[in-house]
Amino acid sequence: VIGARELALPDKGVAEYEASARSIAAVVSADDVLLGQLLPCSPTAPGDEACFRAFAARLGRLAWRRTLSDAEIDLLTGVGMFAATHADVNDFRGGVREIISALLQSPNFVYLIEIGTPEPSDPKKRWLNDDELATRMSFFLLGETPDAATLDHADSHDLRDVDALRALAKDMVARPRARDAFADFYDELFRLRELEGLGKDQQLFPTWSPALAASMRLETLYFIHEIVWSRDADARELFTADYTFVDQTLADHYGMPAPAMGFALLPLAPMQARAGIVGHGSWLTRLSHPATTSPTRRGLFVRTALLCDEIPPPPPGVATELADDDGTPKTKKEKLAQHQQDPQCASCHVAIDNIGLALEHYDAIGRYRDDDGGMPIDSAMNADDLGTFASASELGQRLADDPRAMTCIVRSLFRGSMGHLETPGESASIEALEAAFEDGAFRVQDLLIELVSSPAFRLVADPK
Amino acid sequence: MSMKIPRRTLLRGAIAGLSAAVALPVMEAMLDDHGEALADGSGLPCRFVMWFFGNGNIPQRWNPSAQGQGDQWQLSQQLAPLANVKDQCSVLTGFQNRCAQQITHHEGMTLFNGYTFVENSGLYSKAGGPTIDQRIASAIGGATTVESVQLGVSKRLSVMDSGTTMHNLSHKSTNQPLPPEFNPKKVWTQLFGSFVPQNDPSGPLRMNVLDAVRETAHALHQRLGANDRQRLDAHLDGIDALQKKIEALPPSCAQPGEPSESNQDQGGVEPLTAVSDAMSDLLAYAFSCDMTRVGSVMFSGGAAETVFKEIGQNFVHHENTHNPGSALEQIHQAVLFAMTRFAYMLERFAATPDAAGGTLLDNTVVLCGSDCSEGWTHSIYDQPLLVAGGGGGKLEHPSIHYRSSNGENPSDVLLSLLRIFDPSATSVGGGAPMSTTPFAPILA
Repeated sequence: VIGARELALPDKGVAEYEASARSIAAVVSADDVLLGQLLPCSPTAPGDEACFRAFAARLGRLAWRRTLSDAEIDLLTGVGMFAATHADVNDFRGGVREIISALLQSPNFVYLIEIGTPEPSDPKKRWLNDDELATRMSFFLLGETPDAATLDHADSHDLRDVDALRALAKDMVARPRARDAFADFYDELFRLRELEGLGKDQQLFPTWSPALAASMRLETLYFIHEIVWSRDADARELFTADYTFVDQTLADHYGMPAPAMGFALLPLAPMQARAGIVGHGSWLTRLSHPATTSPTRRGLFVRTALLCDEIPPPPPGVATELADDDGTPKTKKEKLAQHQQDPQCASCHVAIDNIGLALEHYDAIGRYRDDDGGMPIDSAMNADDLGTFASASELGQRLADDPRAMTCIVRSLFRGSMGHLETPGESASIEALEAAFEDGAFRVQDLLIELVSSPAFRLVADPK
Repeated sequence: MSMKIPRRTLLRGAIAGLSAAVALPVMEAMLDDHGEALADGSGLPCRFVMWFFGNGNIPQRWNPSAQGQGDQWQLSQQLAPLANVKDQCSVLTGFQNRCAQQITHHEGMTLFNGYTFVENSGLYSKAGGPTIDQRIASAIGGATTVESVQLGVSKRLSVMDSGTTMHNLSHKSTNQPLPPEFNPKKVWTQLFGSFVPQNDPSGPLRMNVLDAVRETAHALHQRLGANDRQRLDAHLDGIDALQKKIEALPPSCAQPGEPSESNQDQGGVEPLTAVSDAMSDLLAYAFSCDMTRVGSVMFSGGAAETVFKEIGQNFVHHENTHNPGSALEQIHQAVLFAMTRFAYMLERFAATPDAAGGTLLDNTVVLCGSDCSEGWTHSIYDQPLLVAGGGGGKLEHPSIHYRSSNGENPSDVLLSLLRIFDPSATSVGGGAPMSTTPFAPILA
């Protein structure tokens, strides 16, 4: 979540870190195989100080993603000695356990430390140190702390040399973990992980279940994986693909033939006019109410998450009471008519609602429907900036044709990698990335490598 | 005459085997000869609860028709559930929240801190400063093992809003929101389930590790800018709090067993009543045992994405409030439902004897409010505002209904409540919503 990197932990969070660190330390220190991999020495006594020292230096480098100072190693060795020689412990393993616990609770482990070194020609600019840069790359591209080989690479190469940096980035993008990390990114960006906890009206939607929610989430993730990783295809296909991924549960839900087993790529039914991600149940469901659709929420998602438009909040003092609320059944289009007519609302809501109203054929759990409880659906809509569209597939085509959808992928990845919204000083780097993405025919794997090589990714602001 | 035992000694020394049907918290032995202060000279504990329900009320059905004190005013339709505790529940109406910006709902949260939200963009914002419960916690939280607790009931937080303002009721500072815990089992563990048994070897080892952890932050601290330094300081404060807890011994009062409720949906339905009441019970025990003196409860989130299934509703409360024509009765029933659960908490406090004399409710200050008045206008004039409890004799009794004729600043109410706990406080909040003038009528 953007902004989370500015937030401080509550006391409760510190206590939870301690509990986790202690559990991990207990498991690792009791496991001979794991311990064998981590210990660079064989202890000769419960209080084998030299062995604690070697262990603290080795695991410390991995945990804190840098080489520890002598004073830090002394401190951690002291923790090991205190425990190992404590009357109730008297065991080398106990010392190892407490060192692990201390390493994992230290702010040096908990926070990504990005301080950098000032650029001699412009001291306000600070370049990330090689360890810091390798760490930032590893967390962004692989979703995990850098391994020993990556830290070795950072130590033995000068990552200020863009070719060396690019080589490391290519190596990372080629690892299987890169695919998981990328899936996690979209999982968070589209908030797919919230699907399973979503409450839907059980009378209206008796088939809604955590299992169905899980299948919807996987549909979107498998689909993105297909385009970005399996085929390294043009990212515009995200909005135009005439296929999707379903399992038995989801095929039944959508009214499609089911695959023989598991998830499989299958052609979409033309009747339902879906295409690409715009027709996915995952976001159509998440951005509906428990009992009804929400054209406004769906439209806002397309505007902000797919086009990176900025939509201001409602003006002060606005009444949100919808007109003609006399209790008679109305379609969403009729209910939202006031958004279109009241000039105070219309300035934003026409652009938002019209997108959602074109998707009214997909109900609050993303199933195709001919009508809305017997009331006809008129999904022919338009937007000044997008043109006309009457379905998911038509809207998808408009998005694919709009350069903003591609620059939004660049911006979303940039924000995710940096943990902040782009600043004016970063705009040149971002525009260069957008141009490179287009020149490379919108291949996301190349974009990831370009992104981590870009100056903006390697710089950090002055500490403030 | 009671035997005097220094309070700290009691917390650290073991008094085992005490069991009682009703929690017996601050031992009489800890009181001074007159039973009016703790033996170490500190005052009797007074507690504070901030209780929130999302998306407002229906003012015509909420506001009592008459003003005055005691029998001069009667409860309104929406406040009817408070009948059993009416004498200890004052109603304040007609106040004008002075938040300087409005983006719907976020500005309503100014009711609890007296600051305009900050860093807003679209429906994103952060709290402008500490909420009143945290001002109080920093004044009195040092006396207890846990400085304050944050509890939540409905897990359906706003899907449209982002940032920290709307998803957390309590904020220690702009960059330190305190997320509510929604699972009563975890609250129990946090409050009662994590004491280190005496002579357990893990105690000194943990203390030693935490000392080292604190030391590993020193070098880092020197290299950081002011903002990051604040974050690191907050982390180090968390280590202090944890060490304090490791050193503390279990309270000498009767402790509750682990609750069975864990706030899991049943067939898509949230167990709101069971969770809300479990949280109220845990708070009562925590106060009785003097584990903490400050708590906040987010019954439903700001903008209220909750579906009140338990009373037969199918639509999100938020959505209902955009259809006040057809859904008015449902909105009304949802407000009643919230007030019924709020009343349960107050009645629970009223039924719990406090060792310091009277009941827990007598020695507690409760602030209850919401993020707007009517959900369909998002108005921040006349937001729901209740002040309950006796405040250790410092709140007006019997209760009052006070209707402001000129839209007074609700931050004035915050300041008057803060001064019960910290008489040296001179202001609450900042900017347009700031108060330097306590609201006197609520005080005895």
